[in-house]
Amino acid sequence: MFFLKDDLVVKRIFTISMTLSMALFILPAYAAEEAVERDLGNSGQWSGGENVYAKVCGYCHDTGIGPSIKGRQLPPEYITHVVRHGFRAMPAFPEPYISNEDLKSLGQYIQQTTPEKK
Amino acid sequence: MNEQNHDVLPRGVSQQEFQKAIEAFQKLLGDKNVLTRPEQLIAYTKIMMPVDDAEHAPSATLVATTVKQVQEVVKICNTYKIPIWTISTGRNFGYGSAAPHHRGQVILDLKKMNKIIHVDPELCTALVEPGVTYGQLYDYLQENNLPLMLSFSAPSAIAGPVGNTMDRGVGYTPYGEHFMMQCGMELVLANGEVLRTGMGGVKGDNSWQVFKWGYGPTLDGMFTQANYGICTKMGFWLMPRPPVIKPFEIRYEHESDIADIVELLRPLRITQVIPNSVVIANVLWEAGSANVRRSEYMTGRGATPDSVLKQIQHDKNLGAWNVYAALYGTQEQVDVNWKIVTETIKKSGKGTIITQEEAGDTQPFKYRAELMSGVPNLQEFGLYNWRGGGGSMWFAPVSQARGNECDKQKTLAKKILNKHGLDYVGEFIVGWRDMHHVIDVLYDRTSREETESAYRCFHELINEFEKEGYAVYRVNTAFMERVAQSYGPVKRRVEHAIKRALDPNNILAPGKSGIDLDTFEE
Repeated sequence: MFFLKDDLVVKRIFTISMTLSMALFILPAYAAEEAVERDLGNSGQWSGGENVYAKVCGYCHDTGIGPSIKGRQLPPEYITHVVRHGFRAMPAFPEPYISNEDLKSLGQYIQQTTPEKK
Repeated sequence: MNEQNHDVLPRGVSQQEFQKAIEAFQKLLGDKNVLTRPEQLIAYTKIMMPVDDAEHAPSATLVATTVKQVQEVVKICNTYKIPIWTISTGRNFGYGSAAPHHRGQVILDLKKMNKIIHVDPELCTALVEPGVTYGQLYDYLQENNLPLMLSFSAPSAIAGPVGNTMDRGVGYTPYGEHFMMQCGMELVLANGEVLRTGMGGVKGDNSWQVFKWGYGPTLDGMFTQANYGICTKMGFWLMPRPPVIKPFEIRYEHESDIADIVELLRPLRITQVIPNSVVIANVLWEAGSANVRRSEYMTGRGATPDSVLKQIQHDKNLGAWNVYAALYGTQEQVDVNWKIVTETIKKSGKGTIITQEEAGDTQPFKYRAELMSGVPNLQEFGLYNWRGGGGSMWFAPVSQARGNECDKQKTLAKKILNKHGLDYVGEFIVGWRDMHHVIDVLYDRTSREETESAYRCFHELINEFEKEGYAVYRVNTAFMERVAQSYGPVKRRVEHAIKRALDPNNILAPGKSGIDLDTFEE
């Protein structure tokens, strides 16, 4: 069961209240016409190969859905090929989803990893 | 590649005209955001449908990052009569993935428009761009310690709310009917104008994400599963994360139990004792999701016999049907509803309840519990390993939430699938009064024989279900025209009248849901 303890709830409400108070103090009233190009953070940019692995690849390759790819010294070129082409059920990821630079970093990260402990 | 000689062209567009359009796109977006080389486009051709990849090959991809750019893109498209197929994250697996409706369409990829514009933790609303993924939004909520939860479909971690909602996808929480929770859209129309639905057009308004209807005709629905505009922002409601979430499973022994299960659950669902989109999944769905492979039990082609299904059910401790639901609220609220649920099950005389404490971290319970709790994962992709080979299409007929109807649909679907050597891998997602009967038509796409069988099978499923008065709520790009026919000629005429009015040059996603001014015949 997911259970949020009471003291945590209180802390969270307090934190949110403070955040909201500050936000209301700093920002003007939110209006539809203002809803342009604002970014609250977490901009969707990857922060390197390890981050791409954790947020995309690991969901399948660390859970038995796809084969384990860590610790096999797979060459980055191979990773690039599979990511761009897909492989059987594995979807392909185009450049806007994972840029060439991030893909290169991902390939280097996977190549340098050690096997997962079973 | 010689830029003057493109391998793939939009329908009816010459090399010269296409090259002029490409140069205009390059001037607008920069060369690096106009993808034309085969190695740049290959990722968009990865499909799971039983048709040739070439039928869905794009001629180019445009990467836009601002609304202004999208407005300018459609102007160029009008000038050169270039059709564009817009994607947000391109993760519409089993429905066409990122590939366009037909060969030659230019993809407009909005993945890089990925700003989380607004999250209101008091009103529990969000406003995001098309490229935002559920995973990104989940991280945002976690990092900012916001007591809100998401509802998403199974490819949660890598797909996004705009694409899923615009295609009227569903999830597994009390907010699982995603279009019902949508509130306010921003759309670039084919003429380049920007429309904001609901309250969004009112100068100085701050109610865009809290009041859906606005004034006069409410337009949001006509832009979903449609090709009348490009969604560049979407608002939606988030569920406050309750103090207690109690996921549970009810396991049933026999395939014939489906009618009783539905009759038992419907009152609990309609009265909101169980508030979430309950799932009733069959044995193969759950086995596949738990990484069970068909090759562990049998080799060779053909439908998996019932005797093997029973063996899997026994070996993997699954039900023939596996119901997943959850209770949400304070401990007191959950306790009251848990008492009602357990007493109802006990009174029915069948079904075994499994709690989270009993299931622990075992799959498929774990990923189901996460989906019902707004925690992203991709565990359901295990389904694709059941047969392997990367073939998948969702056949998703709508049904009343009545036991006899669900039993009838299940029996009909299984008969047709088995006839074509494929398996019934299905689940019912319980709406308030309806069922999304979702069947994964899995096949080995590396086998020509099985791929052809899957194509024939899907056609027969549509035809035979239609004879019984059933139609699907959503379908992959290869079958959109066929399914549009099921909904009758008047609807199609109205849809095309709207298309002529809003997009006379037919530049926005021709073919989407069967709407295409070039091919439609009165």
